[in-house]
Amino acid sequence: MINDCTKITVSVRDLHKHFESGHSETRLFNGLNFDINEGDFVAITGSSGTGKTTLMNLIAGLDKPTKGTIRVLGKELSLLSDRELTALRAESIGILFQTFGLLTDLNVKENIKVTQMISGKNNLNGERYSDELLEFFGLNNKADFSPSSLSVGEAKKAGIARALSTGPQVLLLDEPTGNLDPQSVNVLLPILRGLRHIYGKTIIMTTNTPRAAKIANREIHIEKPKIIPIM
Amino acid sequence: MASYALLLKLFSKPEYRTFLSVVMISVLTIILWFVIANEIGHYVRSIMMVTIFVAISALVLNEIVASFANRKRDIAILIAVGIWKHLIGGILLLKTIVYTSIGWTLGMIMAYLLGWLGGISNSIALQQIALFSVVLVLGPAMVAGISCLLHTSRFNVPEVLRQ
Repeated sequence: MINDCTKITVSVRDLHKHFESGHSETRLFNGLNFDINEGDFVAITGSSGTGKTTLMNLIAGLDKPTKGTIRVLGKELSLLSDRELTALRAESIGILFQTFGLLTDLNVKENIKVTQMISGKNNLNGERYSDELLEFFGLNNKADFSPSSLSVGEAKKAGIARALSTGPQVLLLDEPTGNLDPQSVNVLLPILRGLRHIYGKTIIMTTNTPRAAKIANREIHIEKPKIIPIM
Repeated sequence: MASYALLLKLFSKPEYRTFLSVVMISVLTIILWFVIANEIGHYVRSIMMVTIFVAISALVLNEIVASFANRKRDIAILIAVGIWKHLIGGILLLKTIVYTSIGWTLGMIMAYLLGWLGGISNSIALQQIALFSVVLVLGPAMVAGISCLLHTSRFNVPEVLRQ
């Protein structure tokens, strides 16, 4: 029983998230439940506006649910202080944002370095690991480039390299194939497939692309939100 | 250490607004010097000193609020990847204190030189200014510190990243 519990990386129970906008309230998830085991590669699918990015933010502890609980690596997020949540993100969670989330005043390698510094993994091994990541993603010749000079596909790859640079237990990829041309998708999909086998840790990816969803070993589909008028 | 330098590189870059703030703080310090050095009425002096203090505090506050506004995307990314948000607040506060001190120091040097050229007794002003300077730097720093705390506490990462 104890072993079963420790294998669950992310556990979501009775999740609700409500947003008020104007004269209506958007109710997301409506009691969503799921467990994600260690080593799973999960695709979270659903049409636009269903709350895929919100779910990623909730799992990363960047946002709070209206109702329900989220446990990541055995820790219930609502019980953690702000500092504990920050430490959890730094040590155990890697995030690729929909908009890449690269710091434009730093070059690609510095973006990786600063993330490693935040998680306390900026030693010699970290330096070697960041070089390996840049090579794996074919960015070693762009290490000194500003993120603003990269193509969308390259920026996505740099974002994934940055997310992986701290060796996180959970990797959150928000729309890794979003806004990419078909050629770039063709380049990125084998990399994501490779990640599943090489990295071996839990990967949670949101996607609208059926081809991308197929490389995951599990799919969680999010239903459309309920929109309730406010009197 | 080199990686902390990256954070400083990111947040300490001076902007045009910062340069103007430094110049304004220098000018206000020069005015303060002459308010203290010259024989003027007690009430007028007090009012002018309070006015200068409020003006410098407003400049410092403006600097820190603008730093947050201009860097909010970078701040959101850094918080999301695991930096403690109050550390960023601390860096921005440190930056503001450094630039305030630079403005104040430049103002002191220029006021001293102007006083020396104009034959005004600098020794009395120097002692009084040294005393008042503690209030002049620490006061606005406290205002900036409280502002930093409020900004970092209320920082909404998902909302900033959504924009």
